[in-house]
Amino acid sequence: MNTTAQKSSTSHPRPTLEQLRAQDAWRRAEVVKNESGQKYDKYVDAAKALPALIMNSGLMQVLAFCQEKGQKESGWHYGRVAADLRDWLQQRFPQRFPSAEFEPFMNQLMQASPQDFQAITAEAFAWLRWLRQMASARQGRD
Amino acid sequence: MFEKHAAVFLYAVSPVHMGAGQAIGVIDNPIQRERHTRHPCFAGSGIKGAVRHSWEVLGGEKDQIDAILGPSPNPEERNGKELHAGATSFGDAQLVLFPVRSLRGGYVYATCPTAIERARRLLALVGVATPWDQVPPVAEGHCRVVNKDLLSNGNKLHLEAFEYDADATECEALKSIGKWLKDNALPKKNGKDNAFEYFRNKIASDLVLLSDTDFAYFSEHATLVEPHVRINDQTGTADEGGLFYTENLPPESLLIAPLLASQTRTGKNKGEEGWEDAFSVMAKIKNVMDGKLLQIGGDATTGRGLVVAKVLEGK
Repeated sequence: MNTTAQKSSTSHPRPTLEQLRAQDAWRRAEVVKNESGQKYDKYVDAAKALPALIMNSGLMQVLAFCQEKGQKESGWHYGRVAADLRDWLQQRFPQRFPSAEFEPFMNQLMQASPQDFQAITAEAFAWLRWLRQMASARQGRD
Repeated sequence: MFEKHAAVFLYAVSPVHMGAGQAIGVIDNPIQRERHTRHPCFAGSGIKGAVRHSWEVLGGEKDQIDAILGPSPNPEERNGKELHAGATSFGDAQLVLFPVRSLRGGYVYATCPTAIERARRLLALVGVATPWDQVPPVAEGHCRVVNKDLLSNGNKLHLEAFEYDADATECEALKSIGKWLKDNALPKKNGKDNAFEYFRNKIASDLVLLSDTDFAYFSEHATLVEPHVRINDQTGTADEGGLFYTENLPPESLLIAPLLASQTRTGKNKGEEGWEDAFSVMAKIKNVMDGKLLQIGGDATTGRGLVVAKVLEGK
């Protein structure tokens, strides 16, 4: 028996970071769609807008903005997409972020070195790149 | 074979949208970037197209467009003439300086060892000497500055939301690079007006050297991103799902591109009327471009793409 062939057919190679981001974005979009029903379009719009907001204003300002908006029913989608982003970043940087809750998360961001902060922001863009596509794909239109 | 060589500095005086076409990323309409550095760039074809488009307005003779830039590949526009190569070549423009918001001084001209060394290499290849010292090393989270007035809290430089430790103030190596760029990268006069003097002086004083990593962060994530909406003709309001985002290279960015010239390739031989050597071709293209305002990239009707060209001929 060809043991090499057997091994390759049964082993599960580790997914790339891009695959993990894609999986996470796809799963979160499904959860929000199931929960929000007809209001799901708002989540898609927020996912689309977030990278430009971060580029123009910075990650911490945008997370604070989303937190404020998310406290009102009319701004739930901003709160939700920011919570999803914090969750993903907490998964990626567990030692930096013991919690994905807004206040402890922001405290950690405020204490991060410029290099860590830039790495976290770059990761936010990398994940949002997937979310804006996956959330839109779930919606059934561009 | 190109016999004459030059470098062209392109200084943005408005946002520039040299688009990358349809792309799937964080921005709907991103700008062109180099694959390996992710620095913004201008494709040589875009620069050449812009020069061709403005040829006559910039003082070029209409009947020389084909000889110098090549005839149109479209047979109808070529009026039956044979297809042949143009006598000039435009390379891709690479980033040299990128403006970054600063707590002091408004903004600084940021650069990094890789951007400076690539510019120096290109200038050397086209025969332009750069009498500046070796670019000093700079660590992540650190910087080198010429102007100590940019610093606060002792030796801290604040760019956007980030703080950098200045390893050297009045850095001599950086000062010599800044002085050379001041003297060579922007026109000295616009007609009788000294319109560029302020910016030439600012390049010399507010040049900041960051690490390659820190510079790459700003050049990728600190561009100009604008939301646009599509207006519904019926309602006069924003169309549902019509929101999109466009990225621009910010004004005050500086790029450099190679420019090469050969003899004309129209089929005419040396001595025949219409034949021109590389010196003559380079003189003509320089006359059209040097110190002139070009429009490159898209969104021209909303004031995008204005760049000032400065041609430096090699030896």
